[in-house]
Amino acid sequence: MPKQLANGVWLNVIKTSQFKTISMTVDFLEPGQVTALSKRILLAQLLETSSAQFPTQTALASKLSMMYGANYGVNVFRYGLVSGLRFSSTIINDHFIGGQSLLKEMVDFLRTVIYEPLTENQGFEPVTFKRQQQNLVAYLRSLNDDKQYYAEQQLSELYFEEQPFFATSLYGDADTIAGLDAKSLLADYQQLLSRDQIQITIAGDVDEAAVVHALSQWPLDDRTESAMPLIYKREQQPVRRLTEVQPLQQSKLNLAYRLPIYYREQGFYDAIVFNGLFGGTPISMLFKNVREKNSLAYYASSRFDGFTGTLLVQTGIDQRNQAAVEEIIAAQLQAISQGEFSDELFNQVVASLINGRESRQDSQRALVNQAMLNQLVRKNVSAAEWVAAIQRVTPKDVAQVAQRVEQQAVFFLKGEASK
Amino acid sequence: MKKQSYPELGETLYSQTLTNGLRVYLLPKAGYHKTYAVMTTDYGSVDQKFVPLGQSQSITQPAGIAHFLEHKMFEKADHDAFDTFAHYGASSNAFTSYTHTSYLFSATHHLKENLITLLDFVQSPYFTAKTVNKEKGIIGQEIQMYEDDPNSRAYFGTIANLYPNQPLANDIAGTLSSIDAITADDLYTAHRTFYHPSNMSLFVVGKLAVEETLDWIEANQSAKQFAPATAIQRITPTKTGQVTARKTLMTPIERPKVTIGLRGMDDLPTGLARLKYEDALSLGFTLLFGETSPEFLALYDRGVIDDSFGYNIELQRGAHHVILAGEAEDPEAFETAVNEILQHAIEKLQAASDRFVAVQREAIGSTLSAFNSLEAIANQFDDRLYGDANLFDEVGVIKDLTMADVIETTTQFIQASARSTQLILPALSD
Repeated sequence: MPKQLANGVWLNVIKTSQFKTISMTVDFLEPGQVTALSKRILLAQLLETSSAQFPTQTALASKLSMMYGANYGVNVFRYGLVSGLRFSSTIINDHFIGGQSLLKEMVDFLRTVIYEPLTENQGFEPVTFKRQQQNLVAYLRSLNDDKQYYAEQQLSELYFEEQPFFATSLYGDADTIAGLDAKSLLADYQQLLSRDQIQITIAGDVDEAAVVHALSQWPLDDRTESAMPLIYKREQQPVRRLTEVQPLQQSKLNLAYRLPIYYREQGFYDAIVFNGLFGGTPISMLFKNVREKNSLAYYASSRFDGFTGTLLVQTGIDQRNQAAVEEIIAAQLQAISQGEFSDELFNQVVASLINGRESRQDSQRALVNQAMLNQLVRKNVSAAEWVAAIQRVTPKDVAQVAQRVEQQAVFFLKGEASK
Repeated sequence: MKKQSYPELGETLYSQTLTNGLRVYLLPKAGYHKTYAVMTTDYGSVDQKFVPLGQSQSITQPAGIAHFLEHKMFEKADHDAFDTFAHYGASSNAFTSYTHTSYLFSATHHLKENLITLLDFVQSPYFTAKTVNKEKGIIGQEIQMYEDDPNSRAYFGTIANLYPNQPLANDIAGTLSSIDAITADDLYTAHRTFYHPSNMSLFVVGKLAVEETLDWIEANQSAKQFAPATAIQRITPTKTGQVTARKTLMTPIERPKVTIGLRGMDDLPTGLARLKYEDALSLGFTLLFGETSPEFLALYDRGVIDDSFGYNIELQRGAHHVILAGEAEDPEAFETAVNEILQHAIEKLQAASDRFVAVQREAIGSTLSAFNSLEAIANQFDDRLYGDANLFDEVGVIKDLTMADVIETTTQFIQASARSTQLILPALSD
């Protein structure tokens, strides 16, 4: 059961002896905004590599090594309209390392890296700031060499043209990041620390009382706790198309559809099964028909995001096959909407989804994520409840979902091999 | 059945070699919801030249055949094994490395049915000219995708530089023209020779009951006929010390990439000593190039290296090497800096003894953490590379290492190694 430590600050301890490790995350959550997103991404980069007590990577790394190679990371995530800055750490369970107590050390370590950043004159220490800012911008440039990522990002910008918060990559926007300065970013960070909702999640063989005790040294002040809506409902718009030519062997064809069904709302589980049948599993119709049956692609898959009601399709193809692939994709949607799929395939997809959900209980990280999300929406859906909901979905429900899919954007990265 | 307890890991491993030679390993994990099983043959992309089972003359098969075979195993005359797994709610996959090919599934239900599906599909080949030709399109796409990936080109380019004119120089997937030459007969020959149970192992980990699981496997295997086990004759090319010292590839990328490879020319010890060698080398490179090293920080602060910098120690049948790689605004400065550290490795390691405990602890922690992941345990487990020793002995080996071991192994490796640099530089596309 989640425990309220202060107004707007929650602790969730998942006690389990399944793992060799104890995993802890501290999430700072706010309604997402486009510029704030890039700021948070630079913050993550800075706070992951320095703090007042551990001013260099070497100092940080040495501390973590001495804690038996504890993991420490800071990252930014987005669940629909909510944006989170996450500090996470994982340590080895005490009894594998001769009883040395790392739990308190980890909690104290996280406190210092979160609340005592490396500063100078009311700003982040300028040399570190500059270095990390440059590194992040350079990294964003090199990300464009990953063509699968690039195509996905371009499609996202096309589809969410009116919603730059969603169009922005979770790695940030290079121009925004290049324009940030050390002083105002520290001010933003201090505001984040005092205003954001906080969720602390710990999974592992731990005693809740010991955790609460260790956290008593944190400055977890009351803050305004307000409901944070997650779901963004995009309106239907005319289809947008964009083609870009690059000297590549393989072309990427990415498509975005509006599927107005939302996270844990009416039809949500139907949409999950639909996506599994369409392109979300390796037994899906896209995989079978685009890749296997017609040898048209190396990969072809779909993903459904219930926070924005978006269905995305990505394929890696030969540039000559663009039209054929688009036709086959459309034909799969058409077939599903008319119920033209076998019971056997439908049952396979359901079994595969159940396998995936049950398996997630074997991942400490997945347990933490699920607990965090449940707390965010203030509603717990257990693995068993999820499985039961999936089992109630019928082929007819799935056909009805397919009828609601509306194509909205197509991005084609056309590869033309340079000689 | 052999039962081996590892109290410091909290694990108990069960194993048995069946009468047909298949080595079976079972690792029950309390609290887990799924079971992961991987069946592996000691056969990878380097095994192009060999004497086929039952023959006397050696043959050379096209590059990429092991990977091609892996793709084609799933398809049968009247069904696809992938669908059979799916029917039982399992997700299945396969992968090919330089020296191994593995088939796997992961499932929360129907363990027996899935295990039998795995054993049956891996042991019953079915290839026709038609199905083989169709696969060429799919694998062709895969090869092209890797050609567009500069990281993949940097890595495979480096390995090719380190082992010129050897099978290791070929990409695991082969080339468009080498796979075009593959026939159904080639696949049958490779399968007959390398997929004999005596050349394979099966590792099952997670939610399982030991006795019952072994019974299912034994019953399935004893019902099948196999030729008597014979030692496989692989023709390995004569080792020459020759490497391609330097190569540059111009391609339209955003940032230059530098990869430096060190090919081990020393003879590896065997058994537990080999595991110790690998861990000592790993600690040595962590001390030299890891984030706790003052050299790392100095280069990072000068902007010579950044967060993309990393290194990998790779040890496999017939080869061992270390790969250092990163993106660099100034590739020359990167290369000079790395070589400078390698050149002064002894002094730098001698000066690093105060950091030994930290990197040793880090290695212990990271090895222990791997036991959280069923996939990590089963995929990393190799029961031949280290004789009687394996992954489960690693924490003990690391605990016993001394700074002297690390200095000796690392400097010996570096001094005897041959080096190569692969540069990938941005070319302007028009």
